[in-house]
Amino acid sequence: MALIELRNVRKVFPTTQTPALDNVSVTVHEGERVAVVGQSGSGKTTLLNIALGFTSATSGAVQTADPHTTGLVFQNPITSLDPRWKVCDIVREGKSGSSYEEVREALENVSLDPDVVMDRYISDISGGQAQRVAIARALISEPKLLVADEPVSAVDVLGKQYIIDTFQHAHEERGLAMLIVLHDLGVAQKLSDTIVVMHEGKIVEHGDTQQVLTHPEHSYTKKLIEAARW
Amino acid sequence: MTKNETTKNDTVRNGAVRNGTSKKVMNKRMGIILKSLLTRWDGLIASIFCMLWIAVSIISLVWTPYALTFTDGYNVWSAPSSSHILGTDGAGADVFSWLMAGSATELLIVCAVAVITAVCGVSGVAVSVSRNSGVRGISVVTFDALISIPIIVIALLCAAPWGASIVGVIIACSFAYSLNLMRVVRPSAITAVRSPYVTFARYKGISEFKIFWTHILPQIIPSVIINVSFASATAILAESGLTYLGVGVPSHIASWGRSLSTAANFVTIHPSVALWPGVIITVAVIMINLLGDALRESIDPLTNAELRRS
Repeated sequence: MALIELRNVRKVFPTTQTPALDNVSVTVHEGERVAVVGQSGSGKTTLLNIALGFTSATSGAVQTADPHTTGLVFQNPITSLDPRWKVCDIVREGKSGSSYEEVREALENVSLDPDVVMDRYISDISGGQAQRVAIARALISEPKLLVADEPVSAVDVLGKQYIIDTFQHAHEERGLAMLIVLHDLGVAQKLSDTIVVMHEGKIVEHGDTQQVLTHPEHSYTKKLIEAARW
Repeated sequence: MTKNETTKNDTVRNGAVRNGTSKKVMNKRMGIILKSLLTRWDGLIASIFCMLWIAVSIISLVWTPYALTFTDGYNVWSAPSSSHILGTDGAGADVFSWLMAGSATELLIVCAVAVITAVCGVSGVAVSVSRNSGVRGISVVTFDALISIPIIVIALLCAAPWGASIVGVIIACSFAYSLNLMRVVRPSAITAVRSPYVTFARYKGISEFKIFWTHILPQIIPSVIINVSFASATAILAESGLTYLGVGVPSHIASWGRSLSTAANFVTIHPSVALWPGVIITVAVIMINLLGDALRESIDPLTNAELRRS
């Protein structure tokens, strides 16, 4: 069953002539992990916004993610969390009526010590910890699908590893499906079954992650892999 | 269960708690805010002034050194003395008694303007950042049009049916300052509305009212406090001006503006009589602004480290 389905989607913003998305088709099934990679401005975030229903497509068919079964993680952990809320309240917002134990467990699942961070404000924890708080908020409701926009781009190496472990654990344990925008091909390799390579609003390559990363066909994918090696 | 665990349970207990503020936690926070306010030099001075103001206002309701109707025809324009500590005016009335009685009127005007400005201003901000683009557009255009109406015009409109009255002053000031608050605070509210945490809350289906109350209002509270304190302080000046023009406080009610406007007619002959209401109005305006500034710093967890740790 498809959790998200975009078929032949085209998006043209009123201020530009060039389409931000051009004939894009992406499907995320239950338990499937899809990574969207490409350089800045390739249309990755627009694709996510359409998949979540934040933006409407100019043309094409869209089945948006169900808010009740979807967790969201934004790119910038500092701006994505309310600066005047404590960590416990932020995580609790992810699931209405969640108990103290559930909040603790959600924080423990992202390798944060609840006793240390529960009563802190976002300004009192690091960017990496803040991103893990955002992930705890997204996963506390045990969603079927996680939609994340560059969740590891603003964190350090160790923080990145914690996040990868959390996502892998959630996928293995509960079959969490994912649609993740990434810059890092190494992370994409670890976190996805299917990879979508985007360039100038178009999908230039789409297929099994291992296959695409080890035997790329399109010159742009080869260039991305080459740049990642360097 | 340790004391620490008890506090945390209070913070996130199901049902009884909303956003980490149980009654116990709320009381603790209020204590921290008050302590923080009183440990700042500006907060302390302003708080002492306001307490004195309130005390004098209450006392003036039952006692003044001389009755307001008392006049001493043989003792007009007298200098401060042991019998009249701030002297007398042109009618021989005791200046101190009139200022004392005026403090209650002024306190009423300041409090009423502060409350109405805060409630109407914040409600206006909520409407102007509404998710409905039609409501948003109409409200912004309406507020922009209304803000061009000067206070004096509103005061004249109020004075036409009812004559000079305290209610007219309160309506005129609240109307103008609410619109000003909306204009100043709206950009902060828009920034909050466009933030990812509001996007998340909306995506999760949380009601617009709850989002405004829990996410947007805390972000704009510092600006609201500053604007409300500014409005309250300016209301004193506006009261003086409107009373001087005859559309403010009626002549039989004591007010600082009334004392100033009476003295202003004779300022070239007896400048000392205009001095006292002028001084008290200036000090009150400064103290209200200091209180607003200190309160903003104390109430915001981003600027009050102790509140953050609570």
